[in-house]
Amino acid sequence: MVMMVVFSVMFLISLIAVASNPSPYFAALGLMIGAGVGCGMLTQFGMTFLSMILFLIYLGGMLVVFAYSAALAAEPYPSAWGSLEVFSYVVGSLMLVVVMWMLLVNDFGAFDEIEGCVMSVRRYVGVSEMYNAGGYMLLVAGWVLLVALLVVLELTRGFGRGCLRAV
Amino acid sequence: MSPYILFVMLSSLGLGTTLTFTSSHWLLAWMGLEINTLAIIPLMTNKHHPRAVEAATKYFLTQAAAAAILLFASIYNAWYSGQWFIQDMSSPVSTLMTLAIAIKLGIAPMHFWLPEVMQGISISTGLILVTWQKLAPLALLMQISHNIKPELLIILGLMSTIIGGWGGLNQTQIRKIMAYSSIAHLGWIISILHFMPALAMINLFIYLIMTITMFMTFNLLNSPTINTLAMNWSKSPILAATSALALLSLGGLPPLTGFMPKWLIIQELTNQELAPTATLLALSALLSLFFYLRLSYSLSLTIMPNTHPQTLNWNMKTTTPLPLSLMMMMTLTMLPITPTIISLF
Amino acid sequence: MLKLLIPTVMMFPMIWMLKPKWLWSMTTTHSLLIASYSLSLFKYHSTAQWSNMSFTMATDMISTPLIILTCWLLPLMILASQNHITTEPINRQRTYITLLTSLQLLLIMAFSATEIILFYIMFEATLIPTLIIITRWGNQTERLNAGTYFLFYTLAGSLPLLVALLSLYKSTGSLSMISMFMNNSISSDTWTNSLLWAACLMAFLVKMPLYGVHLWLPKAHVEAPIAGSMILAAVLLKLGGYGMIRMTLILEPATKSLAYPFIILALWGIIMTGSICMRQSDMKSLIAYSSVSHMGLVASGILIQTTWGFTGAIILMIAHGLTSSALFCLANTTYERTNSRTLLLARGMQIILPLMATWWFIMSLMNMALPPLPNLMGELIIMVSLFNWSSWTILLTGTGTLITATYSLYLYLSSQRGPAPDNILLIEPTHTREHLLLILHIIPMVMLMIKPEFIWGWCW
Repeated sequence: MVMMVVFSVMFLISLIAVASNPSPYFAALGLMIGAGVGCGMLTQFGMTFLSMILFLIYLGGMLVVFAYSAALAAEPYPSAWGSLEVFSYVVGSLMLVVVMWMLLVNDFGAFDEIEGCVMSVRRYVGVSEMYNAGGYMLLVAGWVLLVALLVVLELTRGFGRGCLRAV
Repeated sequence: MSPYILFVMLSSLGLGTTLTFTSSHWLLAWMGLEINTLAIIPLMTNKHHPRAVEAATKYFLTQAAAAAILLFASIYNAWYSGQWFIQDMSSPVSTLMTLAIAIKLGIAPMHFWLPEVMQGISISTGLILVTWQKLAPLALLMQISHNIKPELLIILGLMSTIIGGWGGLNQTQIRKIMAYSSIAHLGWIISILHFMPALAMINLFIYLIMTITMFMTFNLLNSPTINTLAMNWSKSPILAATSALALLSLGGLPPLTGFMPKWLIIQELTNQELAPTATLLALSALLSLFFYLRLSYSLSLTIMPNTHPQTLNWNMKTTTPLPLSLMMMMTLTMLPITPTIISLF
Repeated sequence: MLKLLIPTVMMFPMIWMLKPKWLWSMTTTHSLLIASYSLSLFKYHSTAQWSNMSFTMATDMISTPLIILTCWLLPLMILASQNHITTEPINRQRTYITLLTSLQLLLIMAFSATEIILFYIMFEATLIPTLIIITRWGNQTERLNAGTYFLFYTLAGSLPLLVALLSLYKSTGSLSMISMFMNNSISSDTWTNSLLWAACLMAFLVKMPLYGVHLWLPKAHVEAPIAGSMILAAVLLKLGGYGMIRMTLILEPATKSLAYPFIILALWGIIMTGSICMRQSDMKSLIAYSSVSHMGLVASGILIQTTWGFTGAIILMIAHGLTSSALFCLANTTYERTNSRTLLLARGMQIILPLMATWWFIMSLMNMALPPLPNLMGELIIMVSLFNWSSWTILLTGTGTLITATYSLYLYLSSQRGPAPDNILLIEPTHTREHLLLILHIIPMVMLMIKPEFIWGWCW
């Protein structure tokens, strides 16, 4: 339970880190932390295998995002969370979190009740169920990825066409 | 664009819609929508200029956001009811689902992307955007229509017809006008969806015919604004005359095909004790009619004073293609066979 | 009805296949044949109300005169348009005649429909050819404005009518005119019913036009080419009166209390539009406003719902149809010679075109309803029934008659009498075609004087 709270707080902090609009690679860092901590939250729910798969995929994807955003915005003076504008966003987001907390904290009980009855519907079959029942669907999902790849290649093909550029 | 890539994109465009049609599972339907969205983006930026890139970006962002909301709603539905079937939607989530699909379709008040995107892309891609791309989300909406609150659909529909009419009034660009026309027509489709999905299908069918006709005409005449429209009567006088009528048909004037869906929808709404709503819908069609009328004024009801064709050849080798002729006939003359069309659906 | 509709439909291939040389003479002949054949509708086959029954169409004493008027107008319109259309390319001439013929087709179907939805569709369908005639063949740039006014006034009135008809259909299960008098009629007990009543009549009151919603009419008349003005004044306005006569059958108890404002508006409109006529400088606009004034009388005659009121309305509609159409033809002859509709620029025409001045004289007398003419019959019957309904109306209708006489005289005197200004001394003489056109307007009037029961509905 302690770990759950720690993960949740870190998740929140990483979200604020992204939402406060720092330079891209600081934001990507926040995103990575958020992804990792989210997987940690999943392990606390008991879905260890799923969280591992997710973490590996996230890590791969996030590395690409990190590299890409670093290449996209190679700024000489990046603004981190210390700079005035970003810091004001951080404060604003924190205030929003506090307000939401004060508004919603009384209703938290409701979540517990629903969780007990619904979350366990398919938990016991887990990932094997996904591969078993959704085999064709995974094929389609693969096609989606291929189309996405082709689209990205097509959009960034040739001179002066892509959006990858030095700022 | 290399023909192989074009082939992959076009077939994916078909595949995406077909997947959404055939799926009974929310996840598969969502994937179909995603394939659809992804596949049209290279087609949009095919003519590569800043407006096209901007249009493609806007399109991608709105569609991705809508798809994310759709995915969220379907997961919530699965969490709430324990299954993924589209037909068995539970009621509280269907509102969220409807709004997500409304973003995808460009129904007011989530319509702002449509005119902007339409303005950035070519007329033929615009044709795909306002016809083929509407089919998959509408198919989903029709499958869950019995679970959506009719109030929501009617409010969305009324807003669409009014905003679609109002927005087009101030435009001089044909593609934007056609985008607003699409918004208004979708409003009619949406407002009847809960009460009689078959009628919505008829309306969609007629809308497709009329829109395809108009886009093929504008493509042939190659005119992006009202002003250039006015020069076309000398290129192809018969096409100019008939497409002015086709515009009035789009506006729903009686002896033409476009009156049929409006008539049937008003009848069904009246049967559901919604006569004031029907009156509002009918009167909001007048707003649309105004800009259709303006288009047809400049298309064939006035003659530019400076190009009197005494020495000009009448037909400047503009042969009207056969599909356009067929569509034009269907756009103008299908009102008398209304019973046959009703029996088809 | 097919014996009228098929020849009319067959005019379309004829128009497009004729050699250019024969276009005008053949279409005039064909349409005159249809018109003379349409007279056979006067032979009522049964003693019942309806005759010439078919699946969705039939004629009776109300619709027959209007159908025949429609058929009669087509050759006259073709005759009247010859001069200014023959200068255009041949395909546009063909298109123009096609539009006129399609109007006749739609109007015959509108007047003979027994299903109200069919009547509604045809009522609306006449908008498109008329719109094209006005906006495509009108002369000034304001014609686009006029076309928009025309379309939107009519549609804004008639879309609620569609909803009202469909909700009537829902409550009664039938919209057949033949059995309509057996339906449950509307009482004025609730707001919903009052709105339903208004929606049922508003479309026709706009089309008539009632004073207050009449602004589209002078614009459309002024901007339309001659054939457009003729058909608009002669037949299209009568669609409104015809529709009201049909619809009031089921609106019976509600009309009694709800019709007051509309009757007042119509009667007041007679005086107002008549007064507008007296200070009018535009010839076509004057005739258009005089139409509004006459139609106000027709509307009030229908709204009080007595047999005499209906009869007077039908008589006045037919008589006014022929009269106003003839007046527009006369205005057009002046317009084609002076290129202006302004009364001030076309004075003293009697000296230059004396025979035309005779026609002007006769038509002005017709417009002010001289005794033996059907115009007087119609006005008198409506006035009598209005007087019976409320004796105070004689103040309005009497003043209206006086004003009508005044502006008819004003039109005649200012255009025909007095010294001719120098700028019109060198105009071309009148054509035989124009004399024929006006005689063909006068002949039916004279005939109706001799045998008036054709247009007297059930009252003879």
